[in-house]
Formats: sequence, structure tokens, C-alpha cells
Amino acid sequence: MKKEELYEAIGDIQGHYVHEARCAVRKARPVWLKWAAMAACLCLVAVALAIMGDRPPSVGPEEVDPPYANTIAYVGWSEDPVICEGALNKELLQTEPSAHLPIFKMDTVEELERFISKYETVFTMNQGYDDRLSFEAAIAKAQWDREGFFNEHSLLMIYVPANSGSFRFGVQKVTVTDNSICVVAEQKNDPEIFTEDMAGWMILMEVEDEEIGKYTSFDAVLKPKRDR
Amino acid sequence: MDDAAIVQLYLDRDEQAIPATAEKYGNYCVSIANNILGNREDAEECVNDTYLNTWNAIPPHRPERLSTFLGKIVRNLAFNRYKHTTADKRGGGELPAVLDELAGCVSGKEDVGHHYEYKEIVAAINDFLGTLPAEKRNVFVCRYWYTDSISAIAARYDKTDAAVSMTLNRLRLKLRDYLIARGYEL
Repeated sequence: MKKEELYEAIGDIQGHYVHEARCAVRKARPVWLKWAAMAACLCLVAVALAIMGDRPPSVGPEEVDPPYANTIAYVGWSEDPVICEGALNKELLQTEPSAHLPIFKMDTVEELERFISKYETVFTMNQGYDDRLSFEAAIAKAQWDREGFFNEHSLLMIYVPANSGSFRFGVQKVTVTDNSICVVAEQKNDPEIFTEDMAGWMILMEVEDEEIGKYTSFDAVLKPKRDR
Repeated sequence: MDDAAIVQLYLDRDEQAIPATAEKYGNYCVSIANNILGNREDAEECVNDTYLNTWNAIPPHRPERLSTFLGKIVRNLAFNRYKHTTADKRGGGELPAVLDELAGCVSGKEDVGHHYEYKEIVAAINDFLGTLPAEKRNVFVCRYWYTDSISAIAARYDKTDAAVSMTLNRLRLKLRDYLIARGYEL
């Protein structure tokens, strides 16, 4: 093979790698910040050592079984930065855009309506895909647009972009610690032949208020392919 | 204007699609073409051809990631123009250095006794990229897809030029080994 042919082959790599390379930027940090960070780490170590004796041994994330009731709706593919800006895990998305999925939380009907209004030009809200419902249809079917639902529940929403409309996704597990919750999504199929269009899905997951109130940190990830 | 609206203009055969594309992605396309050709005038001609190709491609295509769709077209057009113009000794972009670096991953021969499907090679490169940490992958893509200069990549990722060169060198060796391990002696 000639070097020109390899260069041409690299030109046909998956679009999300191409996109990701232009989006990811590590900004230069001022020198004083490095020293400040080191000092902060030392303080944290000192504080941790001081309080360790008073606390029970820490436990790792706990897997919630079974996961909360959930469904998935088609919302179309988008790279609009407003998606990350409005997500609860905005910082994680900025530092590791390929490792995390945007997650949103709706506590009231009004918040859900504001979300739909804000993102109606970003996501496709009223159009399904093959056997999958549109975002609006999925919300209506589950009756999540009724005030009564939000009296006792919140709705977590996780956006999963995909390189093909043939791929299907779902919740693999939900892991929780004392104050954090992480939804792990996974690709449910692995078709040999798939369409070359882009797609995007919204996982919609209901969580009781009593449960969601425990958490101050929210995240979502897609299970890496090699682990499937 | 968001991408979906621009794509809809193409689908509606509305000529405003081209100025809307130029406004949002003109600089992006010019930078890709200029990296390859090193000649602003040629790069702008390529970008104009890109708009025409996009106009002819949508419909039937309906890209959801318009930036990458345009990027692929302009990269191909600029590379074709580069191959044509190198015969006339024109242009002074980053591509000659990029191709020289890639030469270490291939035999450079027309036929080494194997005929691999082009799609297989692309799939193997995709798999290889999937094994890399995000930042290393981004550095690779910036150099070998966008044809960015070493110094531009160093500035983007807050690294020294030497660190980027070292990273790229290791990634090329890894790619070559990865392909050989899977039976692709290129």
C-alpha cells in the first residue's frame, strides 16, 4: 500500500472521531493553578487522615437492581453545544466528552415543558424512528406529562448519540453511592449490516422523589464496546 | 442557523443553503483545504467546489452531522487537487510531511501480494482508534485527518511540539503493529 492510500483510508474513519477531535480542547492552565491544586490536595489528604478514624470503611458504588422503570425515544442526532451546557454532568462532558453521556433531570411538568421548548430546534421531538416512539409520544404514552406524576417522581433523561439508526440502546445498570447516581447505557444489538445515517436516542427513566432526593451528583456513561 | 435547518434548505432546493453553509462552516472547510494545499486561493476554490458537491449530494443524502459531511468532501477534493498540482510543484501545505510520516506504516509498494478490501482497512483503523485514550485519538485525527501542523496540535492540547511529535511517532508504530497483528501487511 502507498502512503497516499493510507491517508485516503484515514479520511473515511467514523465521523464521531473526526468531530470529537475538533471539539476537544485542553485549555492552558496558569502556572499558579498547578501549585494551588497541589496545595489543595495536601489539605484534602490532611483532612481525610484526620476524619478517617471516625468513619466506617467506605463502600464502592452499589448497583441498583432492578433499574428504575425506563423507556427510550428517538430524538435525532445533534452536536449542538447547548446539549452539554444544559446537562447535569456538564463538567464531565467537557473534560471527557467521549466517556460520558448528557443527563438531564426534570422535577416538574413546567421543567419538562421548558426543556421541550429549549431543545425543540436541537432534538427532533415529534418524529419516531422505525419501531421507536418520538420523544413527545413516549412522554405521552407513559403519562409523564401529567402533574400527578411529578408529585412523587422525577424524570432522568440521558441522551445517547449513535452512528447508525440501526443501533438500539437501553439501560444496562444504575450504580449509586451515598450522593451520586450513574446510569450505564449499553448498545443492545450489534447488527452486521447497519444504515449509515446518524441517530440519537433519549433514555427516559422515572425515579421516586424519595430516592432522587439523596443524590447531588448525576452522571451517565455508555458501556464501552470491548466490555460488551 | 442549526445544522438541521441548513440541511432542510438543501432538501428544499433553496439556494440560501450555500450562504448559510458558508457562514457556519466556511472557515472550517478552508482550514482543512489550506492544510492540505498550503495555498489560500486553491483552498477557496476547493471550498466552492465543496458547496457545489454538497448541493448535488443533498438530497438524496441527509447528513445529520453536517460538519463532518462537508469536511470529508473538502478533504477529498483538496487531496485530489494536491495530487494533480504536485506534478506542477505547486502548493506548500502540511500534507507532504504528513504523508512522509504515514510512509512508515506502509510498504509503499503497489502490490505486496495481498489484496485487502478498502473497507476492511478503514474498519481496522476505526478499531485501532477505538483502543486509544480520547486525547491520543484526537491528536492522531488532528494530524492525519485534518492534516493539522504539529504546532497547531500542540497549541490546541497545551503540549510542546516535541511532545506531540513523540506521541504521533508512538501512535504510528502502534497503528502499524495493530494492522500487522491483524494480518494487514500494508
